[in-house]
Amino acid sequence: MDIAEILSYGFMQRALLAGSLIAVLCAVLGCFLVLRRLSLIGDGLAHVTFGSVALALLLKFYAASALFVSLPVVMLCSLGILKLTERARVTGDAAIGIVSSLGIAIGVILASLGGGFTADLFSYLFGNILAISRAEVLLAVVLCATVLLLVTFFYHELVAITFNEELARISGIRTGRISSLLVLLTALTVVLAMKLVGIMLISALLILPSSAALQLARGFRTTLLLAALLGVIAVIGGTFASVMLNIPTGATIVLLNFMIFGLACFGKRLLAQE
Amino acid sequence: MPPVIDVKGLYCRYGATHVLSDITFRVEDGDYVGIVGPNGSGKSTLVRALLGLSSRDEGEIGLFGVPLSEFEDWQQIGYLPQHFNLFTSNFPATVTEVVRLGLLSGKRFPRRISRADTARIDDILEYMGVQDLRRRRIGQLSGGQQQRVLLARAMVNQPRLLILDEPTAALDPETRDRFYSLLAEVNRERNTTILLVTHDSATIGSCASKLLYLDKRLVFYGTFREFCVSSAMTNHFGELAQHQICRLH
Amino acid sequence: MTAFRWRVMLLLAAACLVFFTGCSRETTSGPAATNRLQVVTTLFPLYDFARAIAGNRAEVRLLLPPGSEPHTFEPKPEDILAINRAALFVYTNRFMEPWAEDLVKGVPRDRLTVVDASTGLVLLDAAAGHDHGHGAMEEGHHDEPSGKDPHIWLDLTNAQAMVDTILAGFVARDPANRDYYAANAAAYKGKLADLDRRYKATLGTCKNRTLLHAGHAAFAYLARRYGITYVSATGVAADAQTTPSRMAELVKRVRALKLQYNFSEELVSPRVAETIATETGARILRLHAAHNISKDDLAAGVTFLDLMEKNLAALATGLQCRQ
Repeated sequence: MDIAEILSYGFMQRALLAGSLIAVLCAVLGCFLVLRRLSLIGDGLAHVTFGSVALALLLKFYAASALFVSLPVVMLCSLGILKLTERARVTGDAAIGIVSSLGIAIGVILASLGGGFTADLFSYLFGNILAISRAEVLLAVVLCATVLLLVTFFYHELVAITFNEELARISGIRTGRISSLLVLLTALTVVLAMKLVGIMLISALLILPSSAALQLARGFRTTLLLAALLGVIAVIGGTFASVMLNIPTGATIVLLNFMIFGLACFGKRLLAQE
Repeated sequence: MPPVIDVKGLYCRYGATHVLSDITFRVEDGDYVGIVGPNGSGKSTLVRALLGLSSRDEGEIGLFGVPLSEFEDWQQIGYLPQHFNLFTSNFPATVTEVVRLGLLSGKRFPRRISRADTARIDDILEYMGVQDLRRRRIGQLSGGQQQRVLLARAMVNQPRLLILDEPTAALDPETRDRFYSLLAEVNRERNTTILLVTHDSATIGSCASKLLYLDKRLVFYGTFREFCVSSAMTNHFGELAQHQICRLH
Repeated sequence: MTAFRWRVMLLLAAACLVFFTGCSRETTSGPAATNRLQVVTTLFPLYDFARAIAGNRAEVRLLLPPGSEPHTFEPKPEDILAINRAALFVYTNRFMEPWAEDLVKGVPRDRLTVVDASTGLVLLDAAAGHDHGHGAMEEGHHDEPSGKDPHIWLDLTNAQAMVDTILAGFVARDPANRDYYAANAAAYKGKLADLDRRYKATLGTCKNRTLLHAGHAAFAYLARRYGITYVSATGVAADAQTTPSRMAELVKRVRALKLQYNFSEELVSPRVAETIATETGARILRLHAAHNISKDDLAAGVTFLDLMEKNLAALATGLQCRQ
């Protein structure tokens, strides 16, 4: 199918626009998360979302309104992951594992107590990049603007706690609050963006563009910008590739993301050899 | 003028193990204190307690006359933690960006970097002799270069107190000596009070003005002259060791 | 999403294994709660067929909790116990409930009769997101050549055959009540046949013969039975993802055929249907695939026939048939 024609469809325009916005968002947050060894937090919070669905069911929040239960639950759990790493001498990956398996277990028990679902709530919480509504594009714009604004506002503090938390503390930075801000923004992004593009894509967009940028960039600011750029390239390139090859879009974007990461690793070696 | 550091009756424990017991000492403005002692003697715990990074069980700590719990004037203090370069080797930050982080303590929210700040970064990099590296990634530098950059980060606010925890551990002897003379210069020219933790008691005598010997408690605190003539220390260390420390002074 | 549902399932399977090995010894030796025939069914259509046959002389239990996805079922210890107490276990087929055979493997066949309700029926190939047309196949891709479409009950003649298969199971286990069960089955089949005639009559008059379903291909049997061209966004697998070209084709199809409605499945988020609606202006109608009934419907006593009545009404509107 030719590109001009496929671009005339609204769902494609929305996929490219909302997808790019989410890619930027995830890439920027991803840089901080990967460096703080919390890269799997996207995956972990998706598991928690599973648990929260059961709670939504028990509280009789059906269909799309399940979000109003999932969002606060997932945000709380993101703080839980943070507290585990700070207080209990647990590493980031273990903390994510602990919270996410707890989330699933509680979800399974609640679902069983509730005696079944009223609808396939998963289908409401996990979206598809080809089926983004106009309202959801607006949501992506607002989400992206909010997160990027906050990240810009707290840029130096975020870099400082990522560089070294103790040094940040004795620079008078309230490290607890800044870390909380980071994981809360991540939780917000995971839940809302998952509703738009699905969990696989969120997880990939959080880790891959930032990891690729970390291979190449020298400074922090350039890493953030490069990660955002690579994320957008992957979304746009992957979407077009999926049109040409007639394969599912989300998975194609993930694959392209991986290829970009591979090239970045290769490119780093070339740079090092010079 | 209140003492730069004032510690009274400090006790620190990890679980049931006493790491530090009954530590009392004062550091005055312009002092250059070398903190020495065997491995596990609580040197790092002491400086971390001074900065509020590890908890204390008992005792009072004052910084510039203010109790630690109320202390907020962090731009007066520059800190270079132990083994720091191990954590930074993969961190995506240029030399300028790392030094810029040192400016944050002098700012209130929302923290913004001004043109004057950029000039200060350039000045300190030049002072440290690493101005040519400012656009390099921190992890690509040699150990000695990294330490200079991190010292620049600690000093960019022109702090009155500089605390360094084994800054020379990873350096070769020549680089180490250059680093020590740089610190001595900072102490002399800028009147910066320095607290230097080192396991290297043989060389400390060449630069520090005071010696703090720690072995889970305070074994000795005073000037080198006092140390070298103290018969208690001769009994404690033996004549040979005492002489070795005093030789370079 | 699939990946982590699998992980959830594994977690549960592990938990159940513990419970199962712990509990089974004590309970299997004890007698069943009542002397009536105990029947366990997996999905709602089977449950509905079986309870119609059972009347008040057998106890029928629906294994899958309402709203759960049948491909990745999570059994509770109680479910395992129920299967151990039961004399009859009815499932749809190995494509719908791939876990079913494993679940009953441990129970000796002399104590439990296992009924594959699709016995004797021809299963359609599972085409991945392409047209299933009665004589109107335009595309021949079959991405899952080995897979079969499990949604057999949506063809009402299949449903009647399934009733017979299940009846045979009842009779084998409880021959004393043979005539009672047979009479119930005959009555139920009569209702199915009657509904089938009304489907034929109504759907024979439609202005439009394309059922455009913005979801996973569950309604191929229904479409084939009533001579309707069936177009779906994705293949039979419940969590398959569609491609941009497929979406564009659906949109083009709606425009070319001037379809006024596109269909979405009940209980599932209609986001793909909404996307097509935004693109084309075609409104959305919901069809019920019946294997996944909501908790409220189950509590309200809704039957398979009720769901299929509703489907007929939706189809009549959506395909512009004379009613």
